Amino acid sequence: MARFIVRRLLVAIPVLLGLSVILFLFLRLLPGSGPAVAILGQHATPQLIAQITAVEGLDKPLYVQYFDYLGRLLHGDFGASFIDGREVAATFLVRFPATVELTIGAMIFAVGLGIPLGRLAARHPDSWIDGVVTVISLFGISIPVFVLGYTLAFIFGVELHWLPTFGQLDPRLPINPVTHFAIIDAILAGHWYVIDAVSHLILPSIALGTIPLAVFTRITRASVIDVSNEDYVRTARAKGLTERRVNSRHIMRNAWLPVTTVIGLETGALLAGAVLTETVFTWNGVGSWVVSSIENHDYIVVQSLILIFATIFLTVNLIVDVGYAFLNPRIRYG
Amino acid sequence: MRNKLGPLLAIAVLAAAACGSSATPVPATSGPTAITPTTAPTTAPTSAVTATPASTAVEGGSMVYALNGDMALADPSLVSDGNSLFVEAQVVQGLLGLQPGTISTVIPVLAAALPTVSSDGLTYTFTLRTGIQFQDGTPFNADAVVFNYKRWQNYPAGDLQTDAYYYGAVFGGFGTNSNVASVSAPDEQTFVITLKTPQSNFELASTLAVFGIQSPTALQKGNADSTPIAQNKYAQGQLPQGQDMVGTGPFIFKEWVPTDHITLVKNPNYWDAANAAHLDQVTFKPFGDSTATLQALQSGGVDAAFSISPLDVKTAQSSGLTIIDRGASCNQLNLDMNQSVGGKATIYANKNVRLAVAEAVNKQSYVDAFYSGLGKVPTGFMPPATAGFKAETLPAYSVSQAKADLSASGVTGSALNIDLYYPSNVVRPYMPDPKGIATAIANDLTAVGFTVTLKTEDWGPSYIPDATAGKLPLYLFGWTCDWAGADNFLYTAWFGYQNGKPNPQFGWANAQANTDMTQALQATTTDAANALWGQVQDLLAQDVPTVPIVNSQPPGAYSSKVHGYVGASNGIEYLNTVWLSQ
Amino acid sequence: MATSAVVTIAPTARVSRGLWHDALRRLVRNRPAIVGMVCIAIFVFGAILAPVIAPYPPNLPGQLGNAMHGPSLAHLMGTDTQGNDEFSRVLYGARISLSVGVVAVVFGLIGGTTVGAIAGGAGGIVDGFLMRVVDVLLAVPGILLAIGIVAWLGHGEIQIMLAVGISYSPIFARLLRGSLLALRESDFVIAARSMGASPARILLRHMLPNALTPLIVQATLAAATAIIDVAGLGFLGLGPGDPRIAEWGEMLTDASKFLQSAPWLIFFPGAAIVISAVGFNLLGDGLREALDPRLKR
Repeated sequence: MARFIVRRLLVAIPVLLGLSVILFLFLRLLPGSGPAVAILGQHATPQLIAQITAVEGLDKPLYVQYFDYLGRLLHGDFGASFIDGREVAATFLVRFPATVELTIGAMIFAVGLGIPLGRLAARHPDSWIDGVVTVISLFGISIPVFVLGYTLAFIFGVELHWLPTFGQLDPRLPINPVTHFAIIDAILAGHWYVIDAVSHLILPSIALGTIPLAVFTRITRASVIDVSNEDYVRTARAKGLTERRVNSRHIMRNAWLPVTTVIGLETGALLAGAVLTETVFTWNGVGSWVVSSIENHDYIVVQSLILIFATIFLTVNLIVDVGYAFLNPRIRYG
Repeated sequence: MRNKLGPLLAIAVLAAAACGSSATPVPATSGPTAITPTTAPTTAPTSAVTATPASTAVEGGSMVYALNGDMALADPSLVSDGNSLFVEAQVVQGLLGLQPGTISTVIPVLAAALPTVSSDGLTYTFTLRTGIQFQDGTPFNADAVVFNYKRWQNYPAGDLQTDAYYYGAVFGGFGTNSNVASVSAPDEQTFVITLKTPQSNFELASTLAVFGIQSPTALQKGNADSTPIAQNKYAQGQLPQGQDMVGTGPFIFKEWVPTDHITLVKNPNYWDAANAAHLDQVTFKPFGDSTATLQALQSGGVDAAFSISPLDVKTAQSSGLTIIDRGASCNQLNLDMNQSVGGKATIYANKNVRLAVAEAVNKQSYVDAFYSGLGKVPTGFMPPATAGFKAETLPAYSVSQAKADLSASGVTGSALNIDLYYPSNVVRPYMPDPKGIATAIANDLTAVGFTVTLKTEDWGPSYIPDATAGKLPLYLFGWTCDWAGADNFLYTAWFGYQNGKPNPQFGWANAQANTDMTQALQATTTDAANALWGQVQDLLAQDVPTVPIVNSQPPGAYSSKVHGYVGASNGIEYLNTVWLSQ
Repeated sequence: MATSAVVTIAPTARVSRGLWHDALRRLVRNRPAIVGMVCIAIFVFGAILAPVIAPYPPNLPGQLGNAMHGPSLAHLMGTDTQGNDEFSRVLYGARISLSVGVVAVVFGLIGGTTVGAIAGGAGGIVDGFLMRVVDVLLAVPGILLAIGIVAWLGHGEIQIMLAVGISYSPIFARLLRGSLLALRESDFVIAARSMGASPARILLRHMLPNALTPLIVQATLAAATAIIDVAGLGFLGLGPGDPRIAEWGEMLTDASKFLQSAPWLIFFPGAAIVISAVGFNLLGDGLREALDPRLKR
């Protein structure tokens, strides 16, 4: 297992290196203006262009610039926004917790509802229950996130007044950002403020979790049905085991495998889906940061965020692969 | 306000101003003049904006206020956008201000009275209020004022001068190019500023929040003049509370988390106790779009919003929200035509083409469709409420006349394939739906024989720089006034020559108009100035370098918990009078 | 970008005419697939016949006075902010939206199959290199990749189709390469090789046609997500930006500003997107089952 993990890590390295080359070239080859102007945007006066050219070494040969860039990356230096001068890494640490919370919220919604729905449908294949579940999951993957988000906010926020429609916390509450995880900070602040934090999380989680919900439902349903038709399950039934025992010992244990894989894949997709959801719900995470950076042409931030997202994505996939290897006794890696 | 920014104006109810004399009890102020930038004596009790007597106001509470974009920088001398100015006007005060709720009544703020002016119109002498402290505890005095004025004048070339747009625009430049000859502090309480040439807009311009006086100690300690601005922690608002954006206002700057929120807290030691803030805290929250803003208001997540979509006004009212009363319009949206792009004459250098464009657009239909009637078709080149305004006969909507002018222009064939630009990712008070308005204009231009391609660029990083640098041939652009003066629109914003050359934004060679404007600025009587401004407007009407589209009254809204809100059509509204019920 | 879970069908052995025939038979017996085809067909017909069916043109100048009317007999789906008939725009919108979705997928297919075919056909170092490139692209979540590309290329319809297409291409490349690798060891390829057929001929004549089945399924499912992704990019302000052209995503984005004052403007184009996406999803599932008889519902 250790060797397997090491090998997977070694595979991830060239991928990240390749991505860093592409992103490096992305900023250098932006159409039009040249890198100094791209970095400076509307502040591009001749003096500043000269200054940034010197500081960033933009007059050096490309390969030298690339290795400088790589060197800085390896030291955890992702550069600073040209708009507000804040280090990308520092801002990331403040905003990433919001995205993690949202992703976890969406995952809880999707897994918590998707797997039971899938099992329910699988238990009554081709019945009306199955039909309803299938239709729900089909609509789930077919509706644009921003339409769903605004509609949810309208129903539960505006009409019913049950839930807040934006942000992570009510700014009126005296909650200090300690960890930047709204729920944890709210717990630390006491007074049951955590209820406020959780209520803010619900609508964005549903909006973001709907696509994965549909995927989990379908995968669970398909794999439960698949496994149910396997010989060993029939054998187990034939042996007279209770349906419950067959279910838990034989079916679900094996049906979990494909579900786990998909959960891994979906986590990466969720991080990306957060781009839209965070924009709809004015959620101050990494996704809305990507959008505002693009609007401001803050390309250093965009470049770094894409690299960071890719790193996270690869890491999650690695964790999933390892988990998969643990779960599946038939797979033995290297 | 520079186009880049500002949300501003609003729903007009002249009535409120008209019945102003029946005003609510105004707390007396300590100063020699009974005015501080706080209470609006002009509020009618019946109007939505009731400045409630302080005695019934509830003290305390935390308010959430939706802006339609983030603050740009935390140093008022370096900003020119409405969002920044709105926030910073709560914290930093200047010598003079506008009476809250008005856009042309100058009142003393940190000055004890309006300045005395020398007979040659060059020297202004201010007597300052005494006993005022900055929010960091250091004293406010004439030396502090001198420090600030010298600081602005001596900004080095580069990004500081670029961002200190207003100082350059008002005083004609920096350093020796500035129209300021000298500033001095003969004693603690007296500030004297001497100009090189008379400047009739000096007092009005001094009311701008960008001329707010900040604590010299904080500016020095915070290294506020360092560049590049991106690394300037003072300007970026990254210093701790009490060390960043330190003024004398009723609110203290606490923190700024970019794109998330800006927090101000009550100044417990505000110098004008009678007009101190009622609220303990105000959190400004930037919202990207009108649907999210409206929903946040309706669900109670925010208490007030600087702007909502004009098309949502009815919905907002039916959910119990009050629309902010901002009086007559002080903004204008234009369809600008650039006669020279990249050194080459465009088809808009042909006056017949300009006329054809002006006659092709059905402005009233835009006002009805995109502003819900909260606006008027312009009758001149500035909003009618502006001092020095002269109504002009503008080309009227007529498809047949436009076709005739177009064919008279001799422009044919592929030269009629034109690009029309509108900005993305932005909503302006004068432009609630840039894409929709541009589409309607494109349709109207197509109807008279143009073939129009719609193009768009991101507002901040591309559109403004490209438009002002003269790269866009035909584009939507507007202005919200800082004060209701002709110079603010005609000279500062649009047609003043820059470095002796026509503003590249229009490529309109208008030496005569420029001379008239310069003279108007130096005129010593209002009549003389207005006569000159009138000539400028006649020249504009003759040449039609731009097509005025609308003077709008942009709506904002607040919930039933909010009291004492005083709207202003220049978009600078003071929150110290606001209190929350419950 | 929605989660196109990679289709997990192994390439079937040698595809014969009989097998295609069987697949077709299975497909027409698959009720959900028929429903899907009907959904798509409605919009395809609507798109083709729009000039005949639509009561108005998609962009009629000078209608501002009629703006934002709710549904009525004169305007079945109401009117939009420019006063245009929403029903007509939904019909004409099918032309642009369906073709944008399909063209984006075709871009992705062209890119993906080229890379996948070269990698799977050539093997060795070429394969290793190309697959690392694919890994790099796969490591960037789809919508971020598309956002980056649009930021780079600028606003426009072609740019969006390219961006979405490129973001799908690594999935296609990997899928095709996997199939090709499996086929390389199959009996009929070995037979062809032993008969002296050139590698190019083996690749084009024997392997590619057989490796296409999973691609067809994946492409059908991708068409559904492409339509939604294009709408999402439009919402982020990266759309083509000319509202005179009726396009569902753009209509939806513009309508989201008027959610409460004109809900019908979000409902109808929204429904059109959902129904066509459902159609492509059902058809894709049906194709998968039809092409791989071992899968059962």
